Amino acid sequence: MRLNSFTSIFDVRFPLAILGTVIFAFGLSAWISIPANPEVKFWTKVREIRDEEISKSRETIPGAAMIFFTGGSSCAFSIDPEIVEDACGMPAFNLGLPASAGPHFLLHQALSRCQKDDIIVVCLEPDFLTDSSILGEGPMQLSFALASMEGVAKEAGGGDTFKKCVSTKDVLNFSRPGARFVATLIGKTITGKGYRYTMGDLRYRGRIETSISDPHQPAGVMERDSLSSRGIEFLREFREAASNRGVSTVYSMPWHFTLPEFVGQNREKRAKMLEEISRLMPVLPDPAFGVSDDPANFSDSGLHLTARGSSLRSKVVASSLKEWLESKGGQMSEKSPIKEEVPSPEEN
Amino acid sequence: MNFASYDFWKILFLCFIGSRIILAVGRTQGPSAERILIKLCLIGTGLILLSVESWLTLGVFLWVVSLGWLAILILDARCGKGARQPLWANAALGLVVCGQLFPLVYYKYWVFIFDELLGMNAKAPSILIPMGLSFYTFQTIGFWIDYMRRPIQRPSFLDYLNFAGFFPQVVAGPIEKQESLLPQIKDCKFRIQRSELNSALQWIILGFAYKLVIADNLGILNEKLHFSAGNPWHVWFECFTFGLRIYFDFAGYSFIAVGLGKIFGIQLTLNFLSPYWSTNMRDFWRRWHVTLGAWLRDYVYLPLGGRRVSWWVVNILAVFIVSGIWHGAGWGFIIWGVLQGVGVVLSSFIRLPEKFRLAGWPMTFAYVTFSWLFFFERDEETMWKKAQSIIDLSSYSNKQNLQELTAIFPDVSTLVTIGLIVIFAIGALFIEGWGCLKGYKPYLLMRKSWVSLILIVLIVLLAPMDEAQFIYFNF
Repeated sequence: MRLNSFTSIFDVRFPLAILGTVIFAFGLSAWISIPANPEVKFWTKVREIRDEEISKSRETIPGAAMIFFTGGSSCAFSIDPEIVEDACGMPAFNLGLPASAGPHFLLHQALSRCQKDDIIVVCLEPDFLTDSSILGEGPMQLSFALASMEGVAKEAGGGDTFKKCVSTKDVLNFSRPGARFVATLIGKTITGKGYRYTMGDLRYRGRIETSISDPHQPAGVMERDSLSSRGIEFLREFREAASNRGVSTVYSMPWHFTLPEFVGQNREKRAKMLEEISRLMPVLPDPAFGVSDDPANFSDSGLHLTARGSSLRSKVVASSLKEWLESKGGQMSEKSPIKEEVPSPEEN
Repeated sequence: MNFASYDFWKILFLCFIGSRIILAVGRTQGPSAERILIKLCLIGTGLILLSVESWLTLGVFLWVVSLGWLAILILDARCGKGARQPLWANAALGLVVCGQLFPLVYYKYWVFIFDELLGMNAKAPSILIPMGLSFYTFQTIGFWIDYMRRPIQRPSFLDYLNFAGFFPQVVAGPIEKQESLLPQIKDCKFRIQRSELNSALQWIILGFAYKLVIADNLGILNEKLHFSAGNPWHVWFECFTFGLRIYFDFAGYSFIAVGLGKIFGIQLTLNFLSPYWSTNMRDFWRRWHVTLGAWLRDYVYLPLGGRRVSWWVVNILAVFIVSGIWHGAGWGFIIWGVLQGVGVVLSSFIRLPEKFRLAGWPMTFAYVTFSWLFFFERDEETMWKKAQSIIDLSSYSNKQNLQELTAIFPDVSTLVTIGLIVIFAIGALFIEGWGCLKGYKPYLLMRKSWVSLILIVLIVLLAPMDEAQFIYFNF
């Protein structure tokens, strides 16, 4: 009898040890891939500062309409809200995050910060709209990490904007780092390198600027020039979700480094794509059609702009946005606060 | 039936819970009703799991196993199983075997036969081969051949169905024989065997570690690598990583199957016995895909005369050509089979003295690694170019080829990641080798409780996000 009871206790010891190890392993994995992840830490800090500034701006001028720019890192590294504010006379914020957070989350996180009459300028990378395979289904590992740090993990797939849920399977998957992340972490720990960007790269109201200048990948002719059916559905869904909240949407094409010999072809392709987007939402005109062959405009990738590139693009965007706002019927004059009334980060 | 998917475990759990409820109710109806219900629940679970893959998978499975049962009925209908069969029975059995093999030929070899061999520009019947087709076809054919050879009491249809469709092994083996699996299936209670639980969990954890940590990561990383067909170092590296991947993938599957079987009190045959520590090709084929080797030995090699006839070399080559064809349609698989056969024949002639036996290991490993080229490379032109660059000794003296080895990796991150995974793989192989050297039971060191707990941490940390199929599901 004693032996039997001992055996039965012994039998469950190993399964219990397995259960305990699984819980420990998932806890460790979640810690490594979310709060201890240098990329997540950086972008969470950026988000917190942006949120603080938005909140202060709302308090300073209650009810004022604001302009939010959203997209992948090509947005974060390009739109200078200061130039836009100067031109349009409205508070503007750059809410760009890494494209690996996925388009659903990129647009949702911007819309979730909007109030009625705000404007969202969608600066999404064109590949998301032309290539169904990279559009994704909803939550991504980075979006899950960023949303978790914000305390809204269930919105990682686009929340109520896109009606995408985060399943238990997603939670279990996205809480794990995976081999590549672990290898990179080991490599960076050995070499003493941290995340590519630092808080010193954060500029006025969310723009990021880096001093890193890497040789760019030679950019050839764009493969696709037409929106995918899922891309069309995606933009339509977003426009409707924004419209339901009384938020206006407008698209602006990011700038992409292109070799001089391909400029003409790429502009033609982008013009075609912009024409298709314009059937779904207004498009801010850009004489360059998002194509630039000047390496001085680009920093560490063919989509990240330098201070010079950012200034050039922001002026184009600001000017066309101003025209579009005027054409909308004088909201600017009614709602525009004076930029000087909004405290700058330095003053904080 | 992908053990590496969440859905498999979810459906299995639901089927098991459902079965326990049905059996609890059925127990009140007496022992004979309970026995039938156990068998129904077991086959029900197998069929549900097959139907989740696709209705085609289920339909083809039912077709093949039903014809196998028909063969048994034909054998019974004639006058005594051991006696000479009348003509009609032989003809009927011929038709049955054709019917059983038809899906295999149709889904796997149709295009190769009609397009490649006969030049008839045939259209592929389906992109996907019904899962496990080759495995259960061979298992059921083996079943009725054994039934014909060695008269036993005819099993009940439910027992036969459970033998053919036992869910842990139906889609990728082990290909079990009647005498090893049928008696266990007859006695299966379809409940968790507590005495085997720890051992079962250790096998399952080891299987997951092999599959998810090593095989799947190598598979994902391999897609990012740039191999130059003209660089022998590139080709060797590609063969080496594929060799690791297919072993850890298939062995991983087999270990999970063994573990799942053990949970329900069924001992399945271990399909791998540390094959990469073989010291000659005969040894390799005793350790690699053990049950396929046994099937080919019993139903092809021995009926051809085995080693007792003067043309035994031809018999060996025939067996391995069949093995190559079994793996897939294409010249690459046939060449791979021929290479295996030649390797086995050579190792039958060249016997190293016992003290030099270990010297055969590097040659065997290199030979097996090289032969994988014909297994994975589907483009014939590239395959020959790669083979040529490996065989051409002058390409090794070109220093630039060696210097360009790092060109395989698109970035440092991929290099570091693949390095990490290969280190794990080599580490696992060395632990296997140490166990072999010490004469331990297969994979004993990797199944220690504390090793299992470390493996769990590695699985959770390193397994890829996306679910991947097992390579052998395609065969």
